[in-house]
Amino acid sequence: MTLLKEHDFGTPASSSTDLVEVTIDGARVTVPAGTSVMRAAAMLGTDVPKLCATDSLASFGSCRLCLVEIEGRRGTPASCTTPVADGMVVSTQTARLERLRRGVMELYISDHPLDCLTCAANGDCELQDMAGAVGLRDVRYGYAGENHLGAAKDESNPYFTFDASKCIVCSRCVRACEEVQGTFALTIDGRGFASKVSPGGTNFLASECVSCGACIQVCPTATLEEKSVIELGTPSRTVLTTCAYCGVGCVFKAELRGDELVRMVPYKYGGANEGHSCVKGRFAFGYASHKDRVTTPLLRDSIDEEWREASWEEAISFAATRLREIQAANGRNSIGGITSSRCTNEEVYAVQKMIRAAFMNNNVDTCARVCHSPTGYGLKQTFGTSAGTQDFKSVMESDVIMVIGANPTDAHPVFASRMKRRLREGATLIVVDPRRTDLVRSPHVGASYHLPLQPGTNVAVMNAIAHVIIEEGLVDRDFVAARCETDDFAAWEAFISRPENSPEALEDVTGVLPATLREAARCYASAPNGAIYYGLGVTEHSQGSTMVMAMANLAMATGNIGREGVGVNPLRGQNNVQGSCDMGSFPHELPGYRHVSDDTVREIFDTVWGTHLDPEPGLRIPNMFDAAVEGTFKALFVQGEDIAQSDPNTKHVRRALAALELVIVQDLFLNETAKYAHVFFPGTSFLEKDGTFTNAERRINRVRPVMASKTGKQEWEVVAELATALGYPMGWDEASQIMDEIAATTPTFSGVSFAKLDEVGSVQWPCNDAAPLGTPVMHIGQFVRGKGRFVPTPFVATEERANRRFPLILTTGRILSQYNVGQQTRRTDNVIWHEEDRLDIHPYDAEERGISEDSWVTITSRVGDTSLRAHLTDRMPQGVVYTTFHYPESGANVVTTEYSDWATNCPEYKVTAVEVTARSVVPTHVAPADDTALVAQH
Amino acid sequence: MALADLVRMVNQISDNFVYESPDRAAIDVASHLRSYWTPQMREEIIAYEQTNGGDLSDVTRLAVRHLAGAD
Repeated sequence: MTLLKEHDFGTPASSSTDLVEVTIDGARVTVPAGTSVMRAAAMLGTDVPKLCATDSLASFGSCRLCLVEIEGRRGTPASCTTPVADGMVVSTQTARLERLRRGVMELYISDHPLDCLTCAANGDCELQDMAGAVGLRDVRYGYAGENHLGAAKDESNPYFTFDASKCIVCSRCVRACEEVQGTFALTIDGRGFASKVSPGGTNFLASECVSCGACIQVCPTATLEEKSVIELGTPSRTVLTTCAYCGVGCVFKAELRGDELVRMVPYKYGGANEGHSCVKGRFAFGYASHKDRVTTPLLRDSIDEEWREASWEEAISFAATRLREIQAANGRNSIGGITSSRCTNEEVYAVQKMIRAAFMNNNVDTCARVCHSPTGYGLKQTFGTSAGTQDFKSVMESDVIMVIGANPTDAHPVFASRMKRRLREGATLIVVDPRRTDLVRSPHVGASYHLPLQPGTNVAVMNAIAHVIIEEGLVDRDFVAARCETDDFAAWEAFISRPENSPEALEDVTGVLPATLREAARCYASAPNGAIYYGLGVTEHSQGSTMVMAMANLAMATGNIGREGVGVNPLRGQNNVQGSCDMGSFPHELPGYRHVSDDTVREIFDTVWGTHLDPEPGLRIPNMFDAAVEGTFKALFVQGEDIAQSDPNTKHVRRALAALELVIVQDLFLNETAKYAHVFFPGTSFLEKDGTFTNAERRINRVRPVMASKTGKQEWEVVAELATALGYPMGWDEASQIMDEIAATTPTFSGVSFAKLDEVGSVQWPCNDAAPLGTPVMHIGQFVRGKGRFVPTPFVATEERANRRFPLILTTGRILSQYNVGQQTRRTDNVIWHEEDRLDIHPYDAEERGISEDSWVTITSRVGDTSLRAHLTDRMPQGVVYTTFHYPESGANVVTTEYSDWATNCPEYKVTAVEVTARSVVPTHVAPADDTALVAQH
Repeated sequence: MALADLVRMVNQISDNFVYESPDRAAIDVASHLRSYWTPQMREEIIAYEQTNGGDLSDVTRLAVRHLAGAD
């Protein structure tokens, strides 16, 4: 399409249900009460000239350009700050207004460079547009007076410039940083003529700016401008697509000049992001064209050989032949594969179908195994389906928000901005986290209750909260009686009421003060709308599934489910975690979370796929590794996941990979896993993909190809060709046919098609005849399983314990500028904010060990050790250390163990007993221990 | 799969059904194994229970016997 520019209505929409009628320039319009005159005019198609107003920000009334005349009122009020009134008669174009506006514009232009023809924003500048709109032809004051034309340019940020000489001090950027992003990094410094936008008295890079791009988005001039636009020129066309980073699923306008991507701009009508973005989605797309991209298939017979380039035909034939040879020699179940949450629904569906139908077994698992598999188990047991209950907008109706084991300002920043907006409006925040995360205390946001629990004691804390709610009579018994299995509730109530579940009894275990916990419990249970949001700090534990059920129990007991503002909401780590699970990636489930043992379900797929599916569950990822080491599992297809870096106990993973006779990797880069591969199928970046992603709110968004595939193929095509070479043609010509097949076989997707998504933008599943436009909030009226099921949740301490040898507990997580194992973000300018992983340690723990800021330390667990530099911070409680896992050099997962969730085997990344010691010698970072010598190489 | 890993995993599953009576827990643990473990993993744990089973918890032994009966 041509360049897409959303209509700017000038001020935000009013949510009032009362309507008023006004007359503007002789035309009548009915609008919600509270609507500004400017917006009402825009709804009629009349755009009143403006500079400080934009519809993502509250009206400000500073530029004085949007003046109007209103019958019966004196003067010329600003239309942006004047709400409509019933019967109001407005004129937006009169000789008087034209004269006034020209006068205002003269003043602006008298202190603005007249370099429009060479300005990077030429043709994309509201100041330029407004000068034209008001008919400015001359500046009577001349340009020789005192001015700001020599103001210095700030180019410190890698992605954008701040050219103060072009600033009109409209405060849009300052307000966007406050209202949209919630960071408050910008301010207006000085008064009167000396007023200037300032990132806190320093430059942008050194400031608190998080590079979300909100300021650039609203800047009406070239003051804040993407460096890519300055370098490449203004874009000329748009492709709407979806971000491939976290599970928020922001929709972007990919803006191109010819076939060159100039910039990514968040789309105003994106269902999840509504025009906002973060530093990763907005700017960190350069990896797609990085020199490290591999675009030609690679082959080798043994992993100690060099790669050789091959044609697609040769590579696919080689892989198919080896797979069949291995099965012939070792049995049907000796091979399997892993799907990726970074890939589209269609690509994931293709891989699981290939494994089930062409490999003829259920040895398919997904990287969600190591993040949100407990969400799938826990929510299915209690509510009946494996998905979050709300849409993101729902948080704006929440009165109490409980954030458990999540750090959304770093990992889900666009949702965090929305949440922080609600908190600034007055909602109460409860944070359950060992660390003092940004949400606990940040500008204009603070947690009323922070429960700094000991890692590994989530279930104990949740049981104690439930105990208080029962003990103090805060259960919503009407809800429970109407909506839940009452026998199960009675059993749960009896269990939770036991004395051993009281906050006082559990204090020694959890480390949480009983009084604080009791207050937090009362706060959540008493709220008109209480919502729970959680992350991997819940799931990645030995009781991850139990904890998910404990949260679901709590929501049901307090009636906080089945309407806006409430619910139990997983914050998914990757862009398509929800979708990859929906698509049947788990070894026990076919698409739509239906067990492989269900004859009726298998019959559906047997008919459509023309095959005979195995009714038994296959191997999970850790089972595959164990079986590989044991010698019964011989070949693995790995789609877009770097298991050698991301999975726990790296030493064990590498030993397993080295033992395999055939490893096929489909990825963008030769990652750590590819070191053990025999076949490398080059993959496509999200900018080349054609398909859909499903975000954490079950929203299915289109992913449209912004550019041609650099490999010449879509990833699903490669999978389909491999299946064909295995004797199982899939019969697809385009990605839309895959979604059609998903819809035909999966009831919750029966109403989904590319055509519908192109028409309505996005839908949230279930999307079917009962809900043709999808389901933003689930479990209204009744649960998916009918009645909600309470499940008792005994606290069982992890086997991983701190002791004298390993006295500290390590927990891991992500940072804002980097993403997972860093394959993408390490290949962008985001490294300027985080060029290495560090170990966060409390100053007391550091002092005891002779560790100082920036010094090198060795961290040792019972399975391995690694080295990195220390960062001393009292965000950490004593006894707990923290690191990110974005760099293979530090390899955090070298030290994490194979302990896992009892129900799903999701690794217990969040609890590893370690010791940290100062080291005097800077390590020469080599890849983690090469264990290939331990087993025969293939 | 290594037997020690299977034993550790199944005992961990049983520990999380501690709120139930041993008979009920055994049925639920067996159901869990049928739903999520491969046939080979189930066969290996059944064989271990039938030949030794010393490292299995009481509930686990009961569960594996249920499993053997059903399988």
